[in-house]
This record gives sequence, structure tokens and C-alpha cells, in this order.
Amino acid sequence: MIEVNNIQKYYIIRRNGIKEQKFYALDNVSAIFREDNIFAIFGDSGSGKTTLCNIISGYQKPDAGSVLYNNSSEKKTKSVRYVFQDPYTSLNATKDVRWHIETTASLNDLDPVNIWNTFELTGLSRKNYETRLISTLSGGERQMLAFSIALSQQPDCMVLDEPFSYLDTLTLFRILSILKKTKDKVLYIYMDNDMNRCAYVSDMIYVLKGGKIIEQGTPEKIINSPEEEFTMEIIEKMPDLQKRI
Amino acid sequence: MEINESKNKFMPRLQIQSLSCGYKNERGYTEILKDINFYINKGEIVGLIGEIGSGKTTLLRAITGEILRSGGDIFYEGKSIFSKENYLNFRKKRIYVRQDAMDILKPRYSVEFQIKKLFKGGKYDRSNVERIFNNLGLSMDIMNMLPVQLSDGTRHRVLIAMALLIKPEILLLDEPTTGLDTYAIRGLLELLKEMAVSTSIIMINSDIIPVFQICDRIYVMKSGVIIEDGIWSDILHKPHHPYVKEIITSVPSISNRNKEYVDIDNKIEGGCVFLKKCRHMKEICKSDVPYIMDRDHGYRCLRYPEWYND
Repeated sequence: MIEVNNIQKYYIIRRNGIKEQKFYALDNVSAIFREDNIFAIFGDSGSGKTTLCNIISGYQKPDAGSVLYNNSSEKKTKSVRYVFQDPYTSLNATKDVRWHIETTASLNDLDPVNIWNTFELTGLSRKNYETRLISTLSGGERQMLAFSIALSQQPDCMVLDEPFSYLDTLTLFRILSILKKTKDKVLYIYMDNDMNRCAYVSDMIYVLKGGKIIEQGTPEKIINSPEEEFTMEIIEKMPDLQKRI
Repeated sequence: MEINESKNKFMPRLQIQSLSCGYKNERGYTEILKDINFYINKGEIVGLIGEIGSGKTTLLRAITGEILRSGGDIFYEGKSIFSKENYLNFRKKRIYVRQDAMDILKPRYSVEFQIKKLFKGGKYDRSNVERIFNNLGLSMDIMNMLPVQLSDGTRHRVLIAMALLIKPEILLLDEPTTGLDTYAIRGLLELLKEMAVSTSIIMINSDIIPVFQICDRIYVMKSGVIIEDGIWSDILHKPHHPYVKEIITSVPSISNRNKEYVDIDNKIEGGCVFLKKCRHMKEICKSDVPYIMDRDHGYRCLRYPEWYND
């Protein structure tokens, strides 16, 4: 269980070199993430999703408030894993796929065969990809590699920051059903700016706007009876196969 | 070489005839696209969908004339673009918006400078820029910023805005909706619809929902060949290929929350491109599949319409 209590995080913006202004990326955010569930956090660009991800995974410290992992403020090493937004900077472009998987295995005392099995679970075949350089992979293939490396380390919690934005529909469907199948082993915190995907994959949705959580509930409740004006507008403008522009 | 005009009463703006092309490197030649037939009329929006590695981007690059062909031809208003003078003329008429925005924008010049440079004399309609920026969810403050200071999604949007400002005859968009939020996607689609009076737009997208929302005709690609094409409503309501049906029914949304992914592996290859994963596979599918035209709906499946009854 991960608990986030009254978190604040601000960045200082300087105007004309003299005036200092506090910009609150997160303002009094409280949330609870329990095991055996997938939690989705929906937010537009600039709503503070990535800052929240960084704070949960320990890359940044909050300015106020606390994060509790199983009721203690100490995080066990390797219990939280992070899949970054940008697959172009999170992998080493000059090395091949085998190097990434063997390095992961040696750093975490894992058997490389297990990691290859997870890699094949995502739908890429070991035979075709083993010797390919990262620079020759497309964005979607990089994202699947990054996801399988993080999943194979058997973490307690995985933070996914818009992890599948480059995938096509069929592959996306396959990967999201992997998330649903493994949710009893790993607690997933999934960030996205597309309401369709959030509603498909999650058991609970938090709606983030301007650094505040404005609404929370099950996907059925959010889609069918939204309370806030912002959520209503999003659901009205949501991309839909049947709605022609 | 000119197209036989008696065959085509209404000449499309751009036409591709049985094109094959690929990439050459030190290991040899790899053919990516095989036997592509494609056309686009004036004021039409055409969508290309398909999975990763199906050759969508290669087709788009082939249309720009960047890569060498091994067979077939591309005609712009009836003239082959593979000759020097026709190509110079064609180059001014098309704009290609790539996925990687940082490689195209000049990193050390402000956005305003780069927008000014699009127009002769540096004069531009500021209200038009403001309208397009507003639709894409950009504020006018970024006009004075450098591309290195912007985030990746914002840079991509600046690039799209610059392409929309010029109003070219043919606009090629590579994954325009990646990284945009709900408002910006909606704004972009409305702008494109408004533009598609004189401009022909070809867009490829891995997320199929925006494609079905605005495109007039849709081509579906897999493994370098086109497996189905037609008007959007025909494809959405009555797909002729099992693969297309699979894509349309597995869009992640609240309505198919309980749908499970079923992995099918027939462990055979050859013949039809979808043979390995197709649940309607029969012996006949192992032979080569020709492209069948049924009025304006083309498909590459030998078992249509029998497979609907399986």
C-alpha cells in the first residue's frame, strides 16, 4: 500500500531576473494506492502527472507532506519501479537489446532467461531482436522493451508515466491485458492523458487538474455520472469511434 | 511516362501505381513495400493505419520521393515525379511533418523567427497564428522562446502549426496526435477538417480513433502490403478482412472492459499476411492472395464473406 498525504511541490520561476514566483505543480494531493488494483491518474498536459510520479518513486522530495510505503516512510530498495515517458532517453542507443537485458540481470541478480520470457510475453520475439541496436528500434518497440525490463524485476509497485503512447491499437490492447492479468502481483499506478485507456485498464481513476485531485471514483462512475465541470467537458470531447467530426 | 488519360476520367491529385521500394545498406537490399496502389483526390483526407513495422512511414517517405523505388511509379497530377523538373515542381507543393521535431526546428532561433521565415518578406498574419495556436492548446508566450526550452510535445505542436500556416497542396502527417491531450487532439482535428478544401491530407496514426473521426477514405497496411481500402463507414461497419475487424473491436474503451485478449498462434507462415494470427484460417489461405476490388472497396482475403459465418 502506498499512501500520499497532503503533498505540495513548487518550482520557483524567475521573471526579469528579480521577481520570484512560486509555481505549485502539486497542491495538497492525497491519495491511497492499495494492492491488487490498477490505479489510473488522468490529467491534461501540465497538470502535474510527472511530478507526482517522481515523488512516488522517490526521484524528487516533496516540499510538504509525506509518502508512506506500507505505513513506513522508508522505501525498500527496488520495491518501486518506474517506466519513463520518453523511450528515446531512457535506453542506451549505442548498445543492443541483449546488452540491456544482461545488464539488468547482473545488476539485480536475476536469471536472463526470465527476462527474455517477459520480453516475449509482450509480443516481440527474441530471435529477431536479440542483436538489434536500440537506435534501429521504433518508439513503440523501445517502450515495450522498457516495460518488460521493469516488469521482469518483480517489483511491488510499478509507476507508469504515459508508457504506451507510441503503440498501435492492437499491441496496446495486448499490453494492457498483460497489466490486468498481473495486477494481483504488482500494484500499478498508470498515468495517461487519454480517458479511454484509463477507463479500460483501471479499477479506480483520479482526475488531476492544475496540481489538485478534483475527482475520484470507479471508471463507471466517472464516465457515466461525472460531477466536476472539467470532467464532463473531457468526456464530451473524448475521442470516440462513433462520433464523427 | 504519362498516365493514360482515357482510363482515368477524373485524374487524382496523387496516384501510386504498383510501387515497390525498400532500403539499401551494406548488408544488401531489403524490400519493405510490395505492390502498393494508392490515390488521393483534391480536398480529401486519407488515413493510413496499421501496426508497428507495417511500412506506414516508409510509404509516406516514398511519396515525398526521398527513397529509391525498385518498381512502379508515382504520379503527381498525371506526371511521374521521378524526373528532375517534375520533382522540383512537386517538392514545393508538399509538406512532410515528421515525428522527431527537434531535428527540423533550428534550436538556437526563436519560434517567431522560424514562423517569419516561412513567408516571403517576413510578414505574417498574427491573428491567424493566434487562432491556430489556440486550437492546438499553445499560448502565444512561446513565440519568444527557443525550441531547446520547449518540451517535446510542445515542439511537435509548433511544427504542426507551422505546416498548417503554409497551406500546401499535399500535407503528409506522421503521428500528429501522439503526446497531445484531449483538447488539443480535438482542436487539431477541427483545423484539419477546415483545411481540407484545397489541401489533400494524408495522415498516419497508430491510434485509430482520430483516423475514423475525420478521414474520408482509409487504407489498412500490414507487413508492407495494403490489405483493405475503402470509405471510412464501409470499413468501420463491415470490414472485409479479419485483421481489420480485430483492430476495430479491440480499441481500449469503457465498453469493452471485459473483453479478454486471446492469443492465437497457427504456427504457419506464408500466403496471407495475417495467416499466423487469424482465427478463421483454412487451407485456401496458404496460397497467394490477390487484391480483390468490389466497386470502391478493395480487400485481400479469399474467405470473405464466408468467415463472418464461422
